Amino acid sequence: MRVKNRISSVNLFFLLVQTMIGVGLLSLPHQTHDATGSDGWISILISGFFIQLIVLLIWLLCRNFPNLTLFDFSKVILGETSGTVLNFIYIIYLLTVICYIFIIYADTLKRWILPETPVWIIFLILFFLLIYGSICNIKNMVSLFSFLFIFILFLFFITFLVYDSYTDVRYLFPIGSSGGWNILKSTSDSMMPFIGFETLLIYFAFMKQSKTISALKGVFFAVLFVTIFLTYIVILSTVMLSPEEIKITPEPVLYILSAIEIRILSRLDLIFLSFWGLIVFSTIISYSFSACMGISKLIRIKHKFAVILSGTFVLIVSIIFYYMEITLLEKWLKHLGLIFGIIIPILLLLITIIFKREAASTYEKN
Amino acid sequence: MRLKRNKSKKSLINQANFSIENIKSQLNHTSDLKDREIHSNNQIFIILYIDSLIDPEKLESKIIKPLTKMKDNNILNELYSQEISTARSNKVAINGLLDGYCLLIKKGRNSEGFLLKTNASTDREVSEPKIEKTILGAKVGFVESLDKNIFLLRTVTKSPDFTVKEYTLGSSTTTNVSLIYLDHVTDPEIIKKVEQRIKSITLNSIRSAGDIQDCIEDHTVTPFPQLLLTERPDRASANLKDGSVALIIDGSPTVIILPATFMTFFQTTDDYITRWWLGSFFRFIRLFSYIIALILPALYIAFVSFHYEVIPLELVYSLQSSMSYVPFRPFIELMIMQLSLELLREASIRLPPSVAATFGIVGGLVVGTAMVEAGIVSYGGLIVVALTSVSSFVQPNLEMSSSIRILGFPLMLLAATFGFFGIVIGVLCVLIHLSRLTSFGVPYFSPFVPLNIKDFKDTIIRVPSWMMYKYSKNSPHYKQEKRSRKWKLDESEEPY
Repeated sequence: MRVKNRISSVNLFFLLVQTMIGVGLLSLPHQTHDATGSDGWISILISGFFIQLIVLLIWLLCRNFPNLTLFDFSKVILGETSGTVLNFIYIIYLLTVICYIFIIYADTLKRWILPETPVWIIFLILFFLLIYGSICNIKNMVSLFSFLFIFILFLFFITFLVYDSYTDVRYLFPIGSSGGWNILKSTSDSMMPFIGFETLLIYFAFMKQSKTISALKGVFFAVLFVTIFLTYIVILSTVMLSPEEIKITPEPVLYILSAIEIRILSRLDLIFLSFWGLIVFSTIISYSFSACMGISKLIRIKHKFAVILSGTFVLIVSIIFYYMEITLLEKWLKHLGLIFGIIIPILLLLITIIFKREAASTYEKN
Repeated sequence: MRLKRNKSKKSLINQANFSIENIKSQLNHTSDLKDREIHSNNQIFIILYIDSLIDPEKLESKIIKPLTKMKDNNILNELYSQEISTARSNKVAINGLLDGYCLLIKKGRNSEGFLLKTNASTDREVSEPKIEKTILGAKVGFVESLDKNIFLLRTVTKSPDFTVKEYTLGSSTTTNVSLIYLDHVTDPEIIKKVEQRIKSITLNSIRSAGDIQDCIEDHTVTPFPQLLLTERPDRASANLKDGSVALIIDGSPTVIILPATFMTFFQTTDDYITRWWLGSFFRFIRLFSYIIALILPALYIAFVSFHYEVIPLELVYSLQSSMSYVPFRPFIELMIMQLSLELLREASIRLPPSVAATFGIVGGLVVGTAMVEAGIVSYGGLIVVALTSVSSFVQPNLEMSSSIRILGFPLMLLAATFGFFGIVIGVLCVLIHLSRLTSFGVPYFSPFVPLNIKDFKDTIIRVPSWMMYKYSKNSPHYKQEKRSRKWKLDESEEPY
């Protein structure tokens, strides 16, 4: 692949943070509580550590093929036909993730801000924004994300307003009450909010020097940042809400914020939700950029048309799933995320090492 | 078809032999084209000039007088004109004549003539700029003459790097345009781009700086200006020193500065004259007011029509009490107010200053109060619109503040349909758009997108000038020694 626009390690940090922090944020404490009770934050920390290892493996895989994305080197590793099949499956997976994000986004909006608006209108708006946002090159995307990073910091600051007499640190204790094995077992569930790191399979190709260890620095800090952020959110909800409350609130963070009243603003949750809306959008743009890159390579069309094609696909599928069964995609994705984010990259790495696959041509100088 | 034939006829003459007759016929024997024969020293000279463009004083004293008293055979030694060039083709001769030169031809030697500078100048006196006012800045503004503008710019930018390149644009009427930059400071890539774009302009005529702006800006479908128009030499000079390029158009008192990023439009000369605390504070105020002017009406609509639970309860009551008499939705209400404000604004530009004060009272105060009391708009709406317009007046640049007006209406519409979600959509679209804009290859939303903390030094804040030793701007070679405040170290004393 001839890479026109290069990104730096710092850029990769923004890309990855924005891709990883997304829809999972709101319901995360609720989900971890289901699995491990008050020890959810431990399992998030463990998953964060685990993701670091996975990211390292992905880097080991990608450094064999500088300037090549997954869609290029899969053919080198697996051969023409099976490589194409893998690419196709990956594209479907990426699009499925976008559908999932669409559905959760629309659902949350409908429940918290726009109860009377028909959902298909929200889907339509998301569709147009997706198309407008994804027809760009990677430089544009990175610059947008680096600005939107400010809004992640805003989310942080909004949660600082929460601390009040309601907090009860005792909800965290006893630490490890749900049992070590239980916590470990639930890490596979808490991997879900971390999905987004698999886009590295594509983004590493844009790095200036993907072979050196410095390429990994941005990734390392990105995963660290996301881990800390998510852990913070989980701890915050555990401390603020009693175990019974968390069980019945699907979005604990918003629930906490809605109860807070500062002098000039009464409903902080709506502010939080607005900023969250901006950040989720960066996830959508990132995924759809990756997917469209795959599509345009697969059937050889221009990026513009690939975006329109994938946008239409996502629109139709998400509307169908929304009216059919909302939770179905989530169940699927729990397993799909593991398969596409972890198992397949590891398999590819093993094949590369065992059969000594090498990139036929790399434009290192370019 | 006729035009085409006409053109080909002209080009034929262009190539025809260099002679007075040909020049005259190409200038259509216009009445103010005068010629005069001078017999001197056994030679016959013919002077050809356009009467309305030259200074008769100069012509008489510098050319005719020395010619009549000529003793030497070499004309060039005798003439007092400061600028002499030879013309060997009709085209060069005609362009010279149109620039106010007179053409001197020695009879018998028809192959060449001399162009002598005798142009009249109608320069007005340099005066204080009317639009870009400052408190402490220089009281000098650009004028309508190209040469004088270059003079003004050079006097505040003394440097051997100061480079001027001249272009003649326009195919039917020509306009001189000068490209000015500091060599070794400006990025050569930018200079190359500007030159290329200027050369590709094929307009028939250049009416103003706007024509050139239309032709060379990166993106046309955007409310954001990508070139800075200024009428202040000190501002232009400061930008040149930062590595920008200036374009001066003959006959236009506004100078184009490029590339201009989003933050360029928030800088004023005063920021650099006042102490840096004040300068930074003003920057903050301007940025803040820009954001306020952009989203306050939309936020108000979202608050009162969707999310009244966000604002404190006491405020809801007081807003509600005046809104209950208004038959319109908040969106319509704000639209009425905004539109009437636009009318007031547009009308006040055309009014003579003596009437404007009365107009302000009648238009602003009386109509505003009457509108509330008649129940057409509510107090809340009135306050929001007034605040918005005041914030938009804070903007130092006219074009930047008009981008608020263009973006404000769609944002209001979105807020009226989707509440906060609508504002999020609008803001996201603006951000996506901004992150893609470039101005001559420089990212438009520059220090923020892509994020570059180093460049914050002269954008959202203004650090003291001795601290600006390490920042990029448009200049790859920008270097400044760190040592301006080294004396502090020498002077500081230990307390014991």
